[in-house]
Amino acid sequence: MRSVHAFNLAVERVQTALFWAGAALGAAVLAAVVGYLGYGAMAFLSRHDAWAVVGGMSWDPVRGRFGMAPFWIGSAVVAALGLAIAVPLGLGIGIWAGQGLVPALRQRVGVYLTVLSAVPSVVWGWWGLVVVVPALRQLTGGTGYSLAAGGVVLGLMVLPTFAQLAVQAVAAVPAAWVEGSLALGATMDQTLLRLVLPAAKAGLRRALWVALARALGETVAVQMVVGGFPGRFFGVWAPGATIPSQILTELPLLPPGTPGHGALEVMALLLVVAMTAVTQWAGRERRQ
Amino acid sequence: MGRAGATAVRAGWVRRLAAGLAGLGLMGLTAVLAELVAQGVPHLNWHFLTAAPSEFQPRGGIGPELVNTVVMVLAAEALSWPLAWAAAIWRVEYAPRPTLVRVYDLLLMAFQSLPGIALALVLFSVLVIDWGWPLSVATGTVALAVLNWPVAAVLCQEAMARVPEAWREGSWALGATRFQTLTRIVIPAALPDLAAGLGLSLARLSGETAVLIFTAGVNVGPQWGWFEPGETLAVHLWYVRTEGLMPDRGAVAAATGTVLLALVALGVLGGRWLARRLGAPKEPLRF
Repeated sequence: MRSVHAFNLAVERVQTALFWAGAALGAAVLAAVVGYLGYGAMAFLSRHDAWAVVGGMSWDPVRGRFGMAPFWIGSAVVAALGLAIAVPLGLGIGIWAGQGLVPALRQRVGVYLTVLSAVPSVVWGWWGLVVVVPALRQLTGGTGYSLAAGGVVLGLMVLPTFAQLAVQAVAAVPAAWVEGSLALGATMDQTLLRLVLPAAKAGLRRALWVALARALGETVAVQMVVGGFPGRFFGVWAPGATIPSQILTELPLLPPGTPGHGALEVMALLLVVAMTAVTQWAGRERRQ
Repeated sequence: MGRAGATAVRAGWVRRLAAGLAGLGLMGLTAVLAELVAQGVPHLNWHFLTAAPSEFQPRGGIGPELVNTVVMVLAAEALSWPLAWAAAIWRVEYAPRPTLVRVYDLLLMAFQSLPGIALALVLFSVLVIDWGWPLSVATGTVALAVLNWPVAAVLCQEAMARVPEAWREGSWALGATRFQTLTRIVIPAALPDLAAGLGLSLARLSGETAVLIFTAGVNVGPQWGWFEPGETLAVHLWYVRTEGLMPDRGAVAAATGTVLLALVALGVLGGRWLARRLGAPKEPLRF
């Protein structure tokens, strides 16, 4: 009896150590990645005028000009356009499936949305090239490669993620509350606007943050249709670049060791900081 | 008002607007997939699935890309899933101090939100440039494993956190150790969710692009090997549509995308099928 207990305790100690190691390894890899970026970025910023790098409007690595504001503007424009498309449609799916459908059907919609949210970003980028870019070419007369195209592609790409969370948030409002509201004589619309949506607000806000994080970090789908940076910011209908798409395009041209490579590390570090902040907000909503 | 038998409470315009937007959204999403499949399926045949890709001639295939995708995704999963699962077990079943848990949660969340392109930048600099690893299947596998770790850790964590706390307390009260409780109570109960999560993470890995462009490369070697260039289906699709020179690149891209979509659906739906075989269905996991 005693030896069984001793054996169990020994197993326990070994296992605890193993699981600890698993958790510590993950944390160490993250720290290494962020530390590497941070070191490169700091070294670069100490050699250049930090404000001219982060806020400058002129990007020309050959001449030693590293202003990355045009990419921030590009990222903001593309993400805003994407959310402007995804949020109304996703809210519609959330209300329709979350309150209108019987649970069995709602689960079907949920599975379909799960498959859709797993569709790789290259597939959305492909669709952008085949459908969105030619359509914009017809519409605006330019090449069609533009920040607007990136926004449309991103809108459809983050829609499944946003819709899935919206459905969950709306479906989590207790049926008894809805029935109570209807029994008191409120119409469906009054119930929806004054009870269901306010009650689901925290979940919907979280969905928004998660969708924003996905939109900010997306690289390939946007890079395929956004056209590349032409020297400065020319507007929504013209070619442009976002922070991730610019890193993807410039990394082969500014490999590690070249003087301009540090600028890419600054961009990556700021992107990491921005996305972590957005995800933190999403996590905060969840706890409420 | 209304006919006999009509619902007592009628849907107003807000509800109809929501239903209309929902229809529009779902139709738009479906149209994208339908377009891909409609353009891709006519080009699919045995030759395309098995032949080597060609740079300038038509009638190139995706045989090596298909093999690379399957091998790299499975190898990366085999590397990262056990580590992630161990970390999740530590977090859910063992984690002793609240401060430590808060720090871990913060780190995991930051890791999970790490953009793929930032990881690509660091892994390219460290593995390929500093350490001199070739752009290859092996390097790409390591990159995918790093990318997968936080995703798998969160999926495992959510799967095991769904097991009711009372079951654990009952097991401890009967004298079981934490490890016995884990292997005999928690894991069997969480198995369906774990299977569904595994499918999701496999699907996500198959579609990964940005990291692989800089670690596995954008071409394939003359024969398969761990240290040969390891372009995957997703990277091939990206390369063909952005830099490809073959005359039939439109058809090649659509057909590659269709095969990729099939792999992704196989991962998600296969995981769910396995989950249903292993136990009762619950609300699906999300990622």
